Amino acid sequence: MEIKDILKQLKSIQPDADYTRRSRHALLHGRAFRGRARGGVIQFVVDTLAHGSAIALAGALILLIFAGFSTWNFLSPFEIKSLDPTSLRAEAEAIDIQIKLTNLAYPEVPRNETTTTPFSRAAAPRDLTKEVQREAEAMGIASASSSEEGAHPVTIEEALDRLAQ
Amino acid sequence: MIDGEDKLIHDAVKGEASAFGSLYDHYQPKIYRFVMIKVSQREEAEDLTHQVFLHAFEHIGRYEDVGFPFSSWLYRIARNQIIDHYRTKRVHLPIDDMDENRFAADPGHEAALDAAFTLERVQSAIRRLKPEYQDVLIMRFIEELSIKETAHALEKTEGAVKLMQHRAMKQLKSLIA
Repeated sequence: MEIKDILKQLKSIQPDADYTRRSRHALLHGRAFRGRARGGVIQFVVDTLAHGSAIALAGALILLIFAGFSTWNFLSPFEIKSLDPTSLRAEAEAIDIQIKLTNLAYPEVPRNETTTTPFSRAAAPRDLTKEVQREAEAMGIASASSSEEGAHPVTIEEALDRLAQ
Repeated sequence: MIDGEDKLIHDAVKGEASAFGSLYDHYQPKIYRFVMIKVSQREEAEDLTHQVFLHAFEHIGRYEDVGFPFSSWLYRIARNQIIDHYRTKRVHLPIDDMDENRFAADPGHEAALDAAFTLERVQSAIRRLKPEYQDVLIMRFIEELSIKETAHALEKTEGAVKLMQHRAMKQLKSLIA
């Protein structure tokens, strides 16, 4: 078969009837058509006003941004004295903002105190000995030890030996 | 071109729904066919065809009658819609998603099956051509537009259309052979 004849046969491709009905209805009765079909002079006036006001607002905003406060001072019936750049600069220059370092004081810490803390290692064995001694006294073996304490301090081993005897 | 098309377009521009309806009834099958051959998926073809007419309705105020049928304008919109469609979406067609019914048309008749298979092959071959070659073949040999109308729809010269038609047909034959 000639290729042109085959191509002509492709004309048999048709859209689904239900799809066609739904699509047609959506187009002709949908939002897009109603919006466009409103038309007329009123629509033209509304569109023109909308565009015009948008352009005017954009212009005012651009003018305000680029011309700044000088335009405001020029156009506005109200004066904003506090926003006058000359007076603001003069005020800024008048402020004395010197920081006096001599006023800064640091608390002095004695050198010898820095090394002695309540948690120093030297304190621990002394406290332990006292504890043992106190316990020994409580158990009735403190008299002998206390009498000899000045010449020969009782060690834990000795205390335990005495207890065993 | 339908009888009284100029008046229908004029009325449609003024917002007359029935005029739009008449234009839609006449041109929708052609546009659908054009889109369907190019995209191959029924759902996509339906969506795109709807978008074409939606766009046409919204912008018909810009339509200028310069002596060409209304269809040329619609084909232009359709081409742009398809280009946008392919630009925004990569199309993948897993074999499982293919419509089996397309190949199972009237299994009782071998001849009908052969014909369906041949048409499917030709469609598949068309889709492998360059987009503008596809457009030329569809417009010239399926929709039977004149060289002049095709040139206007494709925004090319008549000479360019003749050349494209020749090359497109040559490539199509080699693809089918």
